[in-house]
Amino acid sequence: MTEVVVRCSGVTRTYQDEAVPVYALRGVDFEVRRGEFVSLAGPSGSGKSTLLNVIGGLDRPDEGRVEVDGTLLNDLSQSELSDMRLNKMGFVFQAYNLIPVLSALENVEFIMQLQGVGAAERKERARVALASLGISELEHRRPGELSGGQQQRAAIARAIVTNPVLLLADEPSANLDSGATQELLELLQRLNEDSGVTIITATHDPMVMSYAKRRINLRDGAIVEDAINEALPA
Amino acid sequence: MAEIALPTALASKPKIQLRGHLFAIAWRNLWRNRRRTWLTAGGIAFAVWMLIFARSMQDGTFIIMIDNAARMMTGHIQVQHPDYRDDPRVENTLQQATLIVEQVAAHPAVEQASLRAQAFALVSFGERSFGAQVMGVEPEKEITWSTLVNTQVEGRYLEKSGDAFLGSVLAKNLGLGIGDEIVLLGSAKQGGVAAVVATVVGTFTSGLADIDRALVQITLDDFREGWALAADEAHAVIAVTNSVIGSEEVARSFDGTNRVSLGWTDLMPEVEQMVEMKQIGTELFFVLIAVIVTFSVVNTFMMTVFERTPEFGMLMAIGMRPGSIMLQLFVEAFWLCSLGLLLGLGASIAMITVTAATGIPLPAEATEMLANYNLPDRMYPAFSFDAAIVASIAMYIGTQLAALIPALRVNRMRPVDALRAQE
Repeated sequence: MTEVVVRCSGVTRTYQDEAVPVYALRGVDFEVRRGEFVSLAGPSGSGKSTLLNVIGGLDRPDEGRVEVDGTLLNDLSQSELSDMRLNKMGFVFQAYNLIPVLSALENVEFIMQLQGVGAAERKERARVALASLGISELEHRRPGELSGGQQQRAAIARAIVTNPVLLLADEPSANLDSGATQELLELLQRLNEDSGVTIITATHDPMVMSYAKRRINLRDGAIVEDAINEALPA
Repeated sequence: MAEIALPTALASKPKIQLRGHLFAIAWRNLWRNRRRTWLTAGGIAFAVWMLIFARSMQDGTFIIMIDNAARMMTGHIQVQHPDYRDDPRVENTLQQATLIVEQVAAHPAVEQASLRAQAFALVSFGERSFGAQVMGVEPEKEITWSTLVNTQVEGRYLEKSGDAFLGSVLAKNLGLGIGDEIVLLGSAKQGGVAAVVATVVGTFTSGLADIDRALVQITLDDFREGWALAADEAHAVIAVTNSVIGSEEVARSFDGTNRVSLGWTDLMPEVEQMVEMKQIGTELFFVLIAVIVTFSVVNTFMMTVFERTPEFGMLMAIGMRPGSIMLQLFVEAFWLCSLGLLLGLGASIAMITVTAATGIPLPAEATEMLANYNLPDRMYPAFSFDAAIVASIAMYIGTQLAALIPALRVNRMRPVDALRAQE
């Protein structure tokens, strides 16, 4: 049996919108196994981003348990959560992914600086990651000098360079045109297939959903469908 | 495209978050909004320049003022009998005064050294008498440094035995003029009566009421004769140094057995007090400027945090601890302050170097009045290292405090809220 990377049990998250409680997640239960490519789908307000944030330790559930790679996130302090994200997770967001004053190479190196990796190893690994994503010739460009797709590639390079257990992507295609989106998705798919990286993405983009092996549909904070993508080859 | 190959597991063991690289990132962050950085750094630079220049002008003025006050009467240094300062009796004299004056004059920082003897006496002319301080001096030496000699003098200065030189108010009170004869009566060293007859050869108007109405100078030899002092006795060795700066240290070097050496702060405590009072005013000005600059930097950093909140969210999401982000803000404040200080110090040094050489001319009306009191017609600033150090420290503290408020806000931020700030 493949190892469970993410386990959510009875996860509930409520926000206060003025005096009215808004149920972003209502007792969500699900597991993600190593090597899966899962899309959390649903309309705006369905709770997909909240669920992604809870899995990533960016937000805490009001009730329920969240385990990542065998560690119960509920019990961790903010610093421990930071270390967990740094060492076991990679993040790709829809915007503000990169530090604007650093080049693509430096952005990828940055996360390893946080880990205290030595300079030579840092540079070598960052170059390998950028080359894997086909943007090694752009390593000295700053984010402002890269297209949206190139920026997302650099962000993925940064996310994978530390060899994380889990890659979380929140609306990764939101600011990309269809061509760049397709390139990005093919990249994520190959990353998943070639390197076995576990990917969870929150999206309402059908194209993103079509590349994921498994689709979890959320509505009003609850899972309404959890299905294997039959369109993809087994 | 080639197969995606993830880098292998980390070879290095993770250590603490970020080190030297933080300074490089913080420096680059400073230039994300060039205009704002230049404006803020310019504000710091202006404040630093203003503080240093104002203090340097004040120090320059104080040096001239102290020097003038010293050259008017006390000198920069006086070597006296240990008891004379608290008990200025005629008996408390320096023995072997000639030897001491030679030792003092030999110091490279000493411009001139001479002997003085002094006592209180009744000065009489005709039917009128007034109490005054009688000072026995070496005219040939006093004339080389004393500004009193050239202060609105009527007549001439002392030249020979039997001459008297006194304040214009005292002369007026006594109703005498040049060529009149006065009698000085006091208590001599051995308890007898000291009596000297002298001819008024000149009067001075120093502008200082106490001196103008109660000082008489005669030659040292006349004083010794009148007050029964031995040939090698005097009450003080007066020394004038090349500069006020450092004269206190020079004074301390003349301390010895049966003598004490006093610097200008001991000799003119009222001048020192006035300098201190004015410096308190300057320090309050320093604080005010530092507060204004701090607020302007707070504004800059609040804007920074506001604009970069989503980025901070991203940094927290990828594993950067809030404490490290706070540290980055403090380093940015450090760079901003360093930039402002560099500009401010550069401008101050350049301007003070030029004006210290050329002087800053004063209005014609003021120069005429100042000339009467032997004061220069230009102001000469003296670079204040103290002000430069205090201004630098104050600015560093101010900017770090300014960064603290927004940094604490970052520290309290939850990554999810920071990321949502972009929506």
